[in-house]
Amino acid sequence: MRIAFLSDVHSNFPALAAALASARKRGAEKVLMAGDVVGVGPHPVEVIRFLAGEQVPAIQGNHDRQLLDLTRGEKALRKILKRKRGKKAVLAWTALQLGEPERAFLTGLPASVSFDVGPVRVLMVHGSPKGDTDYIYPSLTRWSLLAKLGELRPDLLVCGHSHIPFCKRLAGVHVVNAGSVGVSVDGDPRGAYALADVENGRVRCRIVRFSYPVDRVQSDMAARGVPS
Amino acid sequence: MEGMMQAFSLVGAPDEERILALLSRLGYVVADACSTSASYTYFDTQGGVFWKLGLRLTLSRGDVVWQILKGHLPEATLAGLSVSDVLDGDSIEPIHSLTRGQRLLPYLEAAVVDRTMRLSFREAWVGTLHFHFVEFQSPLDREQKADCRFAFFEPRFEAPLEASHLNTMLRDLGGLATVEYEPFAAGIDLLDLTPPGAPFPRELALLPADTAATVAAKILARQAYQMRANTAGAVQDLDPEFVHDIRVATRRARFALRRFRGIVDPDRARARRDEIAVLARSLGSVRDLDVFTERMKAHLSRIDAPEGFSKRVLALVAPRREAAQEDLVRELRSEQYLKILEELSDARGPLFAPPGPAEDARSLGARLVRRAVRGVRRDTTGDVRTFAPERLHRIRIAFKGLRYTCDFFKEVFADEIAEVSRHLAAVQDCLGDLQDGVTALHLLGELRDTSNSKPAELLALGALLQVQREEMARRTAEVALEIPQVRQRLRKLGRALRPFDVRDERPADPGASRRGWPPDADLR
Repeated sequence: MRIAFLSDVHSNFPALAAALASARKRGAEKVLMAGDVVGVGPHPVEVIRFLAGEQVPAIQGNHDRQLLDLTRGEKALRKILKRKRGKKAVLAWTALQLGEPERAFLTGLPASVSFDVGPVRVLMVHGSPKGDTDYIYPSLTRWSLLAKLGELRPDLLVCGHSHIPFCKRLAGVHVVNAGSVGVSVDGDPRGAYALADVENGRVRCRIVRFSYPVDRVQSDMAARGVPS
Repeated sequence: MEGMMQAFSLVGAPDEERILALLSRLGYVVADACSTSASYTYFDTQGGVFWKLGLRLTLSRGDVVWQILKGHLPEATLAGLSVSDVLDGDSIEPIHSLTRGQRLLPYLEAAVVDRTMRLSFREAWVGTLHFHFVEFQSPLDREQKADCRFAFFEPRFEAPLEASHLNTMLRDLGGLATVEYEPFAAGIDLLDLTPPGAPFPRELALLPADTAATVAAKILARQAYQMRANTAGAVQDLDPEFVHDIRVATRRARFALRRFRGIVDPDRARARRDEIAVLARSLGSVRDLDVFTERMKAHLSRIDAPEGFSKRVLALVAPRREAAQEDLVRELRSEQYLKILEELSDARGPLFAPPGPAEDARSLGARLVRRAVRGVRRDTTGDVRTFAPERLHRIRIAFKGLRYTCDFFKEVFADEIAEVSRHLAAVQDCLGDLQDGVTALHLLGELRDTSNSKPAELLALGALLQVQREEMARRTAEVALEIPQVRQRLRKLGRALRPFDVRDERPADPGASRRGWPPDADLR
C-alpha cells in the first residue's frame, strides 16, 4: 500500500491542493495529515473544509492546539490583532476566520494516530511522541530516538513540526519527517510530503517535493490582511 | 450583479459539471436550480462619460439599470424610467448632469442566460451559484458576435467571506481560469471593439525613457487609433462628435508628421500629410456645417424671428451637409484611408525607418514644447484687440500647435503641462469660436444674398448677424484678457522644461545672456 503523509499545511490551500494532486498522481491510496492544519497562511477555512470533505485523517499540531487555547470573543481577538505581532496575531486572525464547523473540526483532531498495515505498525505524531512542540531533526541519533519513543516501538514513525523533511532508519524504526506542505524553511521553495510504500511487512519511504503557485498565496495574504 | 467580481471563465458544459462535482466533494449541496434570460443594451456617450466614471447604463424593455463599478452612486435613482424617457433625455437627472445633453448611443447588446443554484454548506444556505451564458453583439455591425460562459458565486449578505473561500477552492482545485468579470468590458474585449471614449491602449502610453523614434511611432499610432475608433460612428452619422474626433486626430497626425521631421521618413511623411489633408477637407466640410447648425440654434433662440425663418436658416445647410456626408463616407470607406491608418500604426514600417536623433522622450518633448512656446510668444506680442482676423487665425494655429505638443508629452511632463493646459484650452476655445464665427458670418451672408427681401426676415437676419458679431467681440475681449496671463505661464513652462532640453547649450545663468550669449527674447 502506498501512503502519503502530509504535514504542516499552515492554511496554505494552493499548496495543499498541489500536494494532494501530486500524491494521487503517484498512486497514493491513502493520505494522512500530521498536524498544523492552520496558522501562517491565508486559507484556514478552505484547508479545513477540504480536509473534512475529503475525509483525510488528521491529527492536531501545536498551532491547531494553540489556536483552540486562544478562547476569546471576537472583540478580544481583534484587540490582539491590533496590538500584537507575529504568531499570536496570526492565530488571532485565523481564529476570527473560523466558524463553528471549522472549530469543531480542529477540536476533534486527536494528538496522534496509530494503525497497522499488515504487520507494520505505524505511529503518526506532530512533533514527537514526547509532545507536539518536540522536534525530530535529521541529526536524530539512535539514543535520542529511543528516548523520545519511550515504551513505544512502531515500525514506522511519522512526524512533522520541524518543516525539514527526511527519511532514515534507526534502531529498526523507519523515521520519516514529512516536512511541510505549506511553509518550506530549508531553502527549497517547493512544498514537501512523504510517500511510504508498505508491502509484505517491508517499508520504503521517500520525500516528494512539488511546486505550487506561491504568488497566489502571497497575494491572498495581502488581500485578506493576514498579519506577517 | 454589482461591480467587477471574481468569476471563472468556462469553456463549456464540461466545466459546469466539473464545478458541481467539486462542490459536492467539498461538502456543498446544490439545489433549486433555475434559469432566467434577459437581453439588454449598454449605452454611453460618444466620449464615454459613463465608462470613464466606472458606471454602466443598460436599458432593457423599459427598465433602466445602473451598474455601479466604483464606489459612488448617481444622485438620484432611475427606477421606473422608460427607454424613450432616457433616450430623449429632456428632463432626466442625473443622466443629464453627467452627459450634459450629449446623445446616448448603443455600444453593446448582451443576451444572458443565467442558471442559478442555491448553495448550502452543512445545512446552512451560503449563497447562490451562477452560470452565465452570454451572447454579445455589436449594434453597429450585426456580423460581430461572440459568446462566453462564466461562473461566479454570490454570497448571502450575512456571509460575505463565503465567496472568497469558494473562489479559492474552485481556483486551486478546479484549475479554472479566474477573471474579473464585468459583462460590458468582457463583451468589448471579446468583440475587439473600442470602448466608449476610445481610451488609448496602455502600450501607446509614453514613457520617459522612450526613444525619439518610439515617441513618434506611439503618437502617430494614437491618432490612427482615434481615427479608426470613430470611423463607424462617423460613417453611420450617429453623433457629430465622431467626425470631430477624427478631424482632431487628422490635424494632430499632420502636425506630428511635420514636427517629427528628422525622425520620420520625409518623403513618406509628406505624402501621408497630403493624403490626410484631402480627408481633412471632407471632415471639415461636415464639421463646419454641424458647428454652424448648433451655433445658429443657440442664436435663433435669442432673437424674435418670424415664422419659418429658423427653418430657412437651418435648411440652408441641410443639402450641403448631406452632400458633404456622402463625400466623407466615400473617403472613410476608401482603400487610401485604410492604408493611412496602417502606415501610421506600423512602428516598424517604412515611415519610421530613419534611426532618429539620440533623444529620449523627455529631451524631445522639452525641445518641441519649448519651440512651440517660442512660436506662440512671438505671435502674440502686441494688443490682441487690434489684431486682424488673419493674424488671429495665425495665432490660433500657433496655439493649436502648442496645445497638441503639450498633449503629446503630458504623460512625460505631467505637472508642468497640467499648469498651462487649462489656460491653453480656454484660449484655443475662444480662438476656435472666433474662426467658427467667421464661417458663420460667411454662411449668413449667403442667406442674406438669397433672401426674398421680406422686411421681417431681413430684420431677423440682421439680428442674427448682430448676435454673431457680439459673440465674436465678446470672445475677442476674452482672448485679450487671457493671452497676457498665458504668456506668463508659458514663460514659466519654458523655464521648467529647459533642464531637459539637451540641445539647449545656453548656460543656466541668465546673466550669461548679458555677457554676449544670443538673446532668446521669447523665453524671457
